[in-house]
Amino acid sequence: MKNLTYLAGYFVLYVFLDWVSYIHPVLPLAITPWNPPPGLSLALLLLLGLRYWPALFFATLLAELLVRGLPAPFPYALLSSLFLTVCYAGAAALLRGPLNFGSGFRTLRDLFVFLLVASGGAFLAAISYVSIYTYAGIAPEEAYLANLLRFWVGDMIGIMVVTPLILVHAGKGIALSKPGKETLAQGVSVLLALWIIFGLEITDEFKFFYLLFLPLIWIAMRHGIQGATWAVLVSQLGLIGAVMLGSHHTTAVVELQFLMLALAITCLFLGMSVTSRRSVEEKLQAQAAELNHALRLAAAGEMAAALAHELNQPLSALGSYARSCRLMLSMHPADMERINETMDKMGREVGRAGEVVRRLRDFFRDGTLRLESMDVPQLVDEGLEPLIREIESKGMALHVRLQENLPRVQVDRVQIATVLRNLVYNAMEAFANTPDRPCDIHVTAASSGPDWVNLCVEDNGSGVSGEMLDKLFSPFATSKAQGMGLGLSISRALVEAHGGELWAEALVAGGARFCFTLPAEKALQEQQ
Amino acid sequence: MNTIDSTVFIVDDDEAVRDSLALLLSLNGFTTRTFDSAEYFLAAYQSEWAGCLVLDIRMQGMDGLELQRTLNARNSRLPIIVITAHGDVAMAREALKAGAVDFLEKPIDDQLLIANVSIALDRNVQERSVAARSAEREQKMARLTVREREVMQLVAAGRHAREIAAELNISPRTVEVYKARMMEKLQVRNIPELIRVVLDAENAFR
Repeated sequence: MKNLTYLAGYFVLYVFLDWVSYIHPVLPLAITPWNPPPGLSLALLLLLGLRYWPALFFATLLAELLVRGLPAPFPYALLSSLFLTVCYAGAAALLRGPLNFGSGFRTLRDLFVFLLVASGGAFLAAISYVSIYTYAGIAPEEAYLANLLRFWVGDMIGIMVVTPLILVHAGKGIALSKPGKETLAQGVSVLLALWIIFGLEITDEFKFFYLLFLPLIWIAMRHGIQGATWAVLVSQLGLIGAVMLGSHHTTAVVELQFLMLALAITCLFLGMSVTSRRSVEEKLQAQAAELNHALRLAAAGEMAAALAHELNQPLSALGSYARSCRLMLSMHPADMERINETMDKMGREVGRAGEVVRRLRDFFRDGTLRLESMDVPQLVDEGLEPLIREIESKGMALHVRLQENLPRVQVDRVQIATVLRNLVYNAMEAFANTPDRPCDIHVTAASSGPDWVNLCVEDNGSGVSGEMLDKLFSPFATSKAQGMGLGLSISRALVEAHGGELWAEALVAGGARFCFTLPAEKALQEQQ
Repeated sequence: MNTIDSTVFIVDDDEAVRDSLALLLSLNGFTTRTFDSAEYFLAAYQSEWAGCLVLDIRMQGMDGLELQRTLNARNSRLPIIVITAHGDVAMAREALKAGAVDFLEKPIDDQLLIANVSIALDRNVQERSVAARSAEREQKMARLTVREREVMQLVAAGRHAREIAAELNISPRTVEVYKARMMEKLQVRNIPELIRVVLDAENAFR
């Protein structure tokens, strides 16, 4: 049903185009300087399928009757229509079949193949048509070559204007990017070029034709093949309009069509190469986005695993405490003091579990941080407090050096404390392979310019190789997720969510330094 | 030797988990001792310790699997019950392959834990008594001379004194002397007892 509508549209449009383009005909052959209907026919067969080839025949015949008034006796019209149909259906079959053209312009090869086949088809069509009419005695023999050439260029320019336009936009609708100022300027520049070429008495059409190249190249560069097809159409219509308004000799018009054909081909190729380069870029971008998504999923998975681990600890303790309380209550006499003490511990574990859940919620609230104004020393204290005993018990030394008068920072205290702890844990793990050395961990904070506070965790442990430095932050590299070790990738994500950066440096003396920046409060307020 | 001398050693870097497990197990009548890291446990470890080990797999520093490997390398006989908050199948498989009694996930089911601890302690007691008996037997065997050992093998194989004398190229009387001295050293009263000792020793070598 839909195809039937298309078919009806084809007939109407065919006759209409033939009628519109019926200017400057070379009588009695009725060869016009531009002939768009074959372009429409090719588009029809390429889009809907070869089985519609009879439509070509009838449309040609119909147009011959209605528009041209049957310049030759009917049998000749019949024969020429048949030949034209065979030529263009053959071209379409060649494109769809062995040449694997598909039905759209996706690569430069598509355009190249199309150009070759179309010009071959148009050439055969020209030979058949002109030969038949010359044989019939309607066309003068001495004008055979000239007629051949006119027919060919008329059909070619018709095809190059119409078919790419339809194929490029078929299925996508007319998806022109919003006509902004640039598009307007481009349209104006095409008209301006046409006016200079044809409107000014002092300029010679042929000498100044090259001016039309400039706006067309501009359009093709900016809008790719889609823009190029429209630019070619507009220029061609403008050219035909100018020719109709002026008093041009038919020969001049045909010569102009050769120039126009060269322009159209140049413009289409330029647009095609812009489009194909852009689609490659888009594909790369899509792949990068996919990878990014996968990385984020991996980071979320790692986060979830780490949080599940942290949640299971207090839950396990709670279970054991509860069971213990029950046992103690069943004893005679019950040790009430010890029971009370255990219940207090249970309360603390519930609080701890709640904190983990809150952190989980914060993390998955998609970037919304619970920001509060914090003093840097307080932040560092809170982050390191749970670790101090462990550091000392392992015989490591923790040196905290904070610059005086640091600006306050706006941070999510749980997240930044997690980052800081994570970095210190990493530093502690770095000593695993260096048992016989003094283990020093330095935590420093300093302002970095007026807008940033720079926090660093430095160790003199086994260090990080340059190669490892690059891989350090990928979630795949840190998949071991030891203990509560949220991977470095997550730490980095958390810092970046605050607007800061996290990076690692290998130290010459051995050991590594991990630093991250936090925006100072003042700078943040200015941003907002 | 019985479970009363045994201790449940708890190694976990999470203070609350450690504390609650120790409380629960002590209320169930077990003696407990806690360590907050694998390194601490190793530093304190004595080979004559009796009992079992409740070991967290994921810890800062040396993890549970590493501690298990180290103890295995030191020929420790402490059975290990592995616990984790991290449902990690690969680690569980590795721990079980390396000889762990069982693998429990946090939050820990207390019934399951107590059942496992009992099994582990029983196993430890048995293993230690077997070990003690074989140590005693080896001590006795070491006192035998080469000749006495030869006589022991042949007697246990069911040979008569005369056959042994022919094989070892000594007089039957001398065989009787060796046999009497050998049985005295091994503290066995009759041939069936002797055969059991010899078989035990052979099994121990297998």
